[in-house]
Amino acid sequence: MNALFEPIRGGYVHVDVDGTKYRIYYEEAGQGVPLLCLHTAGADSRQWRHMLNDAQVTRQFRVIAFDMPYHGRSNPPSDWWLKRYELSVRLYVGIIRAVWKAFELDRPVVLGCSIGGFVVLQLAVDFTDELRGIIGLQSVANGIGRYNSFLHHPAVHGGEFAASFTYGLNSPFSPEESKRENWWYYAQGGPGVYAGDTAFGREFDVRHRLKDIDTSRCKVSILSGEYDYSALTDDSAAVAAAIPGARFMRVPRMGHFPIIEDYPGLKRYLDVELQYMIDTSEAVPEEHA
Amino acid sequence: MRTTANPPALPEEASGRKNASWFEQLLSEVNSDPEMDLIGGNLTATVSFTFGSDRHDLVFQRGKVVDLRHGKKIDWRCDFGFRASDETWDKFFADPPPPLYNSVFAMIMRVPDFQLEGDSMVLAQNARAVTRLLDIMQEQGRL
Repeated sequence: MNALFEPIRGGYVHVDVDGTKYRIYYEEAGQGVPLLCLHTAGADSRQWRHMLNDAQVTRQFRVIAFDMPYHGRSNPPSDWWLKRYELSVRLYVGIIRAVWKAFELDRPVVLGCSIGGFVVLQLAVDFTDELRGIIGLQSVANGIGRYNSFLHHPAVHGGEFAASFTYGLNSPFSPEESKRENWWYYAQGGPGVYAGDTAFGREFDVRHRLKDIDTSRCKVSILSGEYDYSALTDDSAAVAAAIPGARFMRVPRMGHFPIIEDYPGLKRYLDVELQYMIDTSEAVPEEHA
Repeated sequence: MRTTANPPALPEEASGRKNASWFEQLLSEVNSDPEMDLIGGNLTATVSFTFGSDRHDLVFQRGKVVDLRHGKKIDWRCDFGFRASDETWDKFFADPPPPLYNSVFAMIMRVPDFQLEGDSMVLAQNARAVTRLLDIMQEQGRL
């Protein structure tokens, strides 16, 4: 018998946000400090499978990744066919907060990539004392114009276009197999969902609040893959520079999807930041300060 | 397949500018590529690549290049194409390409010199096959 079972457990949780009920799919592994993981726009929690299988992480962290409504195995809300899907800052924060509360997570670390790396900044502003810290991958503090009408157009295959449009966000150094895996996830997005996620970018702007994030209460680490042409490394560096006490690392040879396009390449940098999140001595390795 | 040329020969450039013979080799690579064979069936369009003032058209039918055109004529129509300076193309073909120059979607967004021409919806409709075409071009054209 050569079957391999992964240590990931999946399930569904029902939450209520602003009077609307959502059935949310999640996966989790490990135990310890809660680590809530946020996938990229137009994708789903499958992007976190390498971290959920990383025993070095799951020995110290309870890793939870969930699909946003409309994504992956999380259903849209009732009457979805009567509503245009546009992700607002309020809805995004509301869903994350609802999942966080449903699991009764005590001072979690929230780790997000791309749009997830944007919203963690909002969480740090809104819930400073209820977080252990945030780790933002490809974080910027205001919107990026990723919307175009071909993402949801009757003459264009939305899945193939979104997948190919985002494929170039990978680094040329990342393994082909991993980049193609992320392409597959993007190709499976629902009609108009990636386009709807980009609405978040049109509204989101926390630039004026960054200086108010107190990193003595909520730690902040920002990592940025240098091949990301959307969330530019210099812009992510500027975010970290605007938050007193925040840490920043440029990840060489990495693109926009480090969690899935090259997890081993990310891990050597991410592990340091995960340890920083649970380190009570506040010691900061010089190269990350 | 037939090949037309105007002018008949393009000078080799130290910059790595791609010439007619380079595109002849590209035709062979694209038409024998197993992935393009699988995904290109709906690609029936003419795609232009312009390096400085040198234009090359790839005429696709059902994912196969059936004609190459070098130069310009008033009736050589294109569905969409990409235009940039030699300097920009050299970065795209560099090994490795520097950040912002590794894909055409990156250059469309971030490199002012890089121009998308024609009907971009035809590109969107064939994004997967065009992505593969550009990957083949990068693999063949490494500087």
